[in-house]
Amino acid sequence: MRRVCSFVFWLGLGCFSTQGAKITDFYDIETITPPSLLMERYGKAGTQADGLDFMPDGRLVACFVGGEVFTLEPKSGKWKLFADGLHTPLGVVAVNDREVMVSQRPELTLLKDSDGDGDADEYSVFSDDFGVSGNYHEFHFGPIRDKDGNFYVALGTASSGADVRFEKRGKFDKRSYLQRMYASVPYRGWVCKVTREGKFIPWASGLRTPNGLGFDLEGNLFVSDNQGDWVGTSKLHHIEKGKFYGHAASLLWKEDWKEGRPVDLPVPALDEMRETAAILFPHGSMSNSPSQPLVDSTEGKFGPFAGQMFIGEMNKGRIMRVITEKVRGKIQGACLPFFDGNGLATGNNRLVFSPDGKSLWVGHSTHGWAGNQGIQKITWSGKTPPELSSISVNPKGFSMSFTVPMDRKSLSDPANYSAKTYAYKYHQGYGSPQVSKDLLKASTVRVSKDARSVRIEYERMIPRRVYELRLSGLVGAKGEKLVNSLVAYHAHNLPK
Amino acid sequence: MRKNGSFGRWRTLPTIEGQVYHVENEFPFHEKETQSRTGEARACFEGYRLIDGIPEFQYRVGNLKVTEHLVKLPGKSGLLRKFRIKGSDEGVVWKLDPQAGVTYAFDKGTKQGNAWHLTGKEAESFAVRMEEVPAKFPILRLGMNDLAVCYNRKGDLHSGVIGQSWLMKGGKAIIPAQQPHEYPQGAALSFWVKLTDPSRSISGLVSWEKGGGVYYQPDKDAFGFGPAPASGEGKDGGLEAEDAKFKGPSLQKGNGGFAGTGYLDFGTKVGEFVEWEVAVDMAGPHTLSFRYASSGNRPLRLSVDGEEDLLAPPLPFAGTKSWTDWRNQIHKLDLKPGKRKIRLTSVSTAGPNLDRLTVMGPGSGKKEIPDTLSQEPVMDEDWHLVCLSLEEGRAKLYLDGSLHREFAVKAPPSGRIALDSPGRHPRFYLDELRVYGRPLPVEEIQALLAQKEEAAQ
Repeated sequence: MRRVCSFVFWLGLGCFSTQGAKITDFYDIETITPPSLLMERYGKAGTQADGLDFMPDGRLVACFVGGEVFTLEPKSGKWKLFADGLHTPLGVVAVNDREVMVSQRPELTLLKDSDGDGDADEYSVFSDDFGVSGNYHEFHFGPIRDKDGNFYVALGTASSGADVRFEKRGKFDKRSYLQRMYASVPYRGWVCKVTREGKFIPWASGLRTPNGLGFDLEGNLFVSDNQGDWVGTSKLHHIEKGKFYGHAASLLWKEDWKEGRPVDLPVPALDEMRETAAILFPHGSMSNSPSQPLVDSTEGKFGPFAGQMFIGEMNKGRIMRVITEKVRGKIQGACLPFFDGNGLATGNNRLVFSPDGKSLWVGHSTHGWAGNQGIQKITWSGKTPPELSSISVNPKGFSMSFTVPMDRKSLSDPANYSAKTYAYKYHQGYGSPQVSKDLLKASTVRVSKDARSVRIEYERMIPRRVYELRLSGLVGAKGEKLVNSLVAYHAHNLPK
Repeated sequence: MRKNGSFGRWRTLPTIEGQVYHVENEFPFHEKETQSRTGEARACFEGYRLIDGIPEFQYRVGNLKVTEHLVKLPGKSGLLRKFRIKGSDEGVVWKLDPQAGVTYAFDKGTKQGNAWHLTGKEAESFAVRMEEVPAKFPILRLGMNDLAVCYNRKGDLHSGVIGQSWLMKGGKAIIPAQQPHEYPQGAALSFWVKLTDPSRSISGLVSWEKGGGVYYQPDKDAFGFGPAPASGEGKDGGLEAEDAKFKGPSLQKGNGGFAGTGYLDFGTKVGEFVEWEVAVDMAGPHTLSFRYASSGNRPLRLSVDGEEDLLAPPLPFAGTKSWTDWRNQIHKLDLKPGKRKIRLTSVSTAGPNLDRLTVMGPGSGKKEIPDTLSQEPVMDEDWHLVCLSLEEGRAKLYLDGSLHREFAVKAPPSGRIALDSPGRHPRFYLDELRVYGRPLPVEEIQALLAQKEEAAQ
């Protein structure tokens, strides 16, 4: 009998050690059948989903690239057209069972189903106090809603790959016109607040293509930005009122701006003005085009990552996790893959949790760049994936914890924590190479009694660096490898 | 309407399918008390409500809260527009546009001159029936802003007569999306044009695929109509610098935009010259137009038959924007009949690039270019409205509202409209092109001319 048990144990261990764990061992992924009307109108390309939310009654609301808003009864799989004829809608908030707030190019629009038949019959301008030059790249991202009922949106800059139209809305200012990405009409490159009464308030500047807004559980606002001019690598910013986040063109629309062309300011002066990012997504290895952050508010119904944020990635079939902490007053932290490939399509643009918290719905789109279309649903199976659970910086290194007990031997080996460190340039150029590169070796490793956490020290720690680790040498107590081993921590500050 | 282009970018702008018979560029009415301040109160769009799938639009215009519902006239080409206006104590005034392409019928109010007046009470609920007047509206109406969308080329849009104009500068001919047309009831064209080099011919400014179009030839009394004539290169009396006698300047071809086979590059020594031999028919005042490019003031001294006006300064040849920006240095003088030798000589070690000489005088058949053009290389300082009306075998060409020339026409034109490629010819600015499926009466031409003044206001 003992021999048989032993055989079963080693068989199981053998499976883990030879193949490793994959995310679909712990999460199921399902592709949702899209509305047939979209297939009839446009074919597959028309099923690009750019906004997802759930109504209180459990219906999913989704907006699509051709300008349609549909509702879905998740149980029956039946779609119903809710609204039509919108212009590049990029986000929805279900205000209640009859009202949906949607961002489309020209405005924030409140759709209302006044007679309760499931179709919106009123399309009211809720907020349009920003400029539109006609440049194709002027996207209107958001909205998201805070706990007090206020909305936040973000306004994309224009691309020098195309011009503006003669008919414009808002004052036209040429001081950034046709620079790589430009802000020739008001509040391009800004995050803006729209109060629940509809008052438009420019909130923070310096964004390039801020395709994704979200809050953490404390109500901190986060907005992603895409690599390009002034953006060395893609970022997640902690947005605070009045701050400037680095993309120069938007400075024109500061109320007291008197400096002429923003790009004529010396880079050190702009660098002094800017607030640095909370998270840096290493270009290439982690993310080339991050989208919407969504905090895990499921209190554990979606797995062991409650309170952390998930964020989509457009170029890869990847959804990432973001782990933040406050260090000397600044929110910063790490990013790492969560769901990578294994049936997940590219173009992960919008995320929402199902009302029961067990599933993460993912809207895919492409807009002519890398991406895909359709909606997928990721559901936790209840099994805990072996993963890095948390990471925080200390004066000499990092503390990490894991979702499962780990193999003490591998956890104790300093060779498993070698860190590549680097920074990105802040400049007008497009993107940045990794600079100030270094390779750090762990000098000390201390493992907790339960072998679920570890404290690592390095020979030196330098602030304003990305610390990229590959934890592929770590093994769980059952011999299983981590599902994801790559992690990149942005240590803007080091604790005292 | 149908949607175009790649998803999720601005190119999903809709295309209107079918014939446009009415366009409303401005909000059609205003409060009576603000009549003298038309345009100050801009319409603010507030949304719409769907009634049986048709939107009822909501606007705010100054103090007015406006609701408008559109209903298609059954079996007819037209609309019934139902309005509800709140907030107007004095009433509203609806300006009637004779060019609208529709008839107006109001169920309330009174007509006063070219406007319809409604009291505040009447404005609370009224309807306007707008019915198409067949063929009244242009078949094709092209504000140049539309070209910016179809042909996105940075920097080609410039201030025009109405909104922006398009700088036609060669390359692929620009033919906007349009249906081919036959013109059994006659035809008409109207457009605004501004030339950048009046000494050069343009074989076709605006043309039909069949039946010709409007061209410009300075030696044939400016604008004309007919099958597009052959290239005007060399036929308008221009004398290429490279064909003249020269010593010192080098023959070059590197900078684009020159006429002929090249241009002369002055530039290293004092005393370099180019000399043209010009046949002068009649004595009298002549205009010499030297086409050149320069990076700054690079003067050359002028002499005729070896004699120069020693008291006069050299011709300045002021800087052009670039070495491919060719302009004209104008100089007026009296010439005697016979063969005259026109010579330009360098006075320093820096000189301009010389492309050609055009001589205009009493015997040349060319119109003289005003003095003002010496600094601004356009035919004059204003835009010109060119209208062409074809009817019963005759084509009447109007310039700025007045009959310019008449031509016999064998067959009516047909096909699409082409905005011609100037190629190596002078560039020109084009604005507000209209194509009609009927002749254009003088009254309407006068109304089109008045648009410029309205736009200026």
